[in-house]
Amino acid sequence: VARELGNGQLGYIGVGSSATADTFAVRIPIAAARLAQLTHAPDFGVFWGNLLDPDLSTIPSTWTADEFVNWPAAASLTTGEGNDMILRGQIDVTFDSAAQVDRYGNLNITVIGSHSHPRVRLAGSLAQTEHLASAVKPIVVVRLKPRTFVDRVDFITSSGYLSGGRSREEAGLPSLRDYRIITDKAIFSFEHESREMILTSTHPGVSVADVLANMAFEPLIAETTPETQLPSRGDLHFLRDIIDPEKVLLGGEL
Amino acid sequence: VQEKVVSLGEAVALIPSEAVVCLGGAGLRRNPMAMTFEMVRQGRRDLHLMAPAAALAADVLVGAGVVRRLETVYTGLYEYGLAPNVRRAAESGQLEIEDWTESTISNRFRAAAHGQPFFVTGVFLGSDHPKYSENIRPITSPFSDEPLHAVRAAAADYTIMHGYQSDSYGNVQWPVRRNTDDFDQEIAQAARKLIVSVERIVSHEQIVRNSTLTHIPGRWVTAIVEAPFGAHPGECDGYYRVDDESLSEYARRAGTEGGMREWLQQYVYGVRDHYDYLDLIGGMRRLSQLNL
Repeated sequence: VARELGNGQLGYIGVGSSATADTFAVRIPIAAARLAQLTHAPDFGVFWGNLLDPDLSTIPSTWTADEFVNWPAAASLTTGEGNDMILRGQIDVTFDSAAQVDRYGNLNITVIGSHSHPRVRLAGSLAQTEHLASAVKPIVVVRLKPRTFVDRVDFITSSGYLSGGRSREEAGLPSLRDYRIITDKAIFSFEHESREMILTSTHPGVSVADVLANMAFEPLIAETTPETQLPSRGDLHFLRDIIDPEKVLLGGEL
Repeated sequence: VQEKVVSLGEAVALIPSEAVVCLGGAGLRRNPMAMTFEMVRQGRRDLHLMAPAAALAADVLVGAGVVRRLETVYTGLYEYGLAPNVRRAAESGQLEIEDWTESTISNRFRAAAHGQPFFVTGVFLGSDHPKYSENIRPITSPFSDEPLHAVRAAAADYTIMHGYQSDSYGNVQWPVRRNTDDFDQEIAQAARKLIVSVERIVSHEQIVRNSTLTHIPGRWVTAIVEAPFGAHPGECDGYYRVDDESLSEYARRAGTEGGMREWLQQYVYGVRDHYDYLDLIGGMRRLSQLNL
């Protein structure tokens, strides 16, 4: 995730919700943002919850409302003001997770099944609709599972490339800068013309067949798929010893 | 200038069944819980609830069976999981949910605060929200032919929120340092009848000395209620943290319909008022441990 973040950019990270979504949409992005600051992007900035440019050098071990009040930051905005910044194009990168992701990168965090009588009622929409309705680079962090990677999402909470091709632009939405789906087994992006999901790399030890076994649709696959570059020894040192020594952000995952 | 202080019971008695009621607060923070419990005790029913982010209060009201329709951006209890009653009621088809997003719910209140009937947005282009809402209509920009949606301004009959401190005239002040991640300013500005419970009622002299801290002037307010620990078991930033034990118990017991019924019996129907509730959960001995 850190490698996707550019110097001088501003990323928008939510305040976090329930356990799994929190790890994927908040804790991993925070660790990645700090790693980017310490390596190639010293001026990567973060809008986290309501805090603009919080100091990521000291991340407290508990995240109560009061910790956020006392956290050193340049500014503390309301939810509405934070969303204004997204919609005005002042945010470069957004971090999201989802219960369903489809072939064209549309996201669902609202309902599984029908809207009026859902099989599973999920979190709602939060600001994930705003994130992908803006000219941002979305980074979606999610576990690769067949029930998550579906052919069509049951409810479009966030517009990705809709039905592919130029459909996003034709609907009146701004073009996305780029779009990455980062999972525990592989990384995906979207093919330039058709806007279909394409397998970008597989993590070491994961085969293309493993990836396909964990998806309910088949993404585009190039003749050869490179292996995901592992974090360097230096990156691991930063993550384990400097950024997150108490494993607040990354738990047992690293 | 009018005195606005009433008892919790009197304040809630202003709100009739079937009203459109908007709740302030966000997530587990400053939900108007004392007023929520009192609404249940007084037997309100068929409420149309706008709870932009007051996930805990909304879940209690839905669990008590007093909500017909819920408008919201988030139906979860953060680290305590998804809101169990909202989930159960939605999945059984008994509760209609109108899903909003953070900017659109905020702008519905801003539009109402500006006296406008609607606002326009590009947020819903391509998304499924317009299919399930009567309040979102496609339009074309008269300036550029861009496709957009018109979204109706919020219109709650009654707005209830939990503040920090106020004088007896209803001038509600926010602390200099507070958690700003909420919609309370827009919600208060848009309110028709605004009822605010506060942790403490302080002197008018104290308020007027720091008028820049008055985010909700008394002239917007219908009634003020003093309700210490009025956001319990949630938190009030600057005053007390979440009651982890109470919330864990809630999340566990509200997981089944019967469990929720018993929880309501014990903590809401089984007590006379807010102060009895505070005694029941352990009184000052317990509450002082939550203080910040």
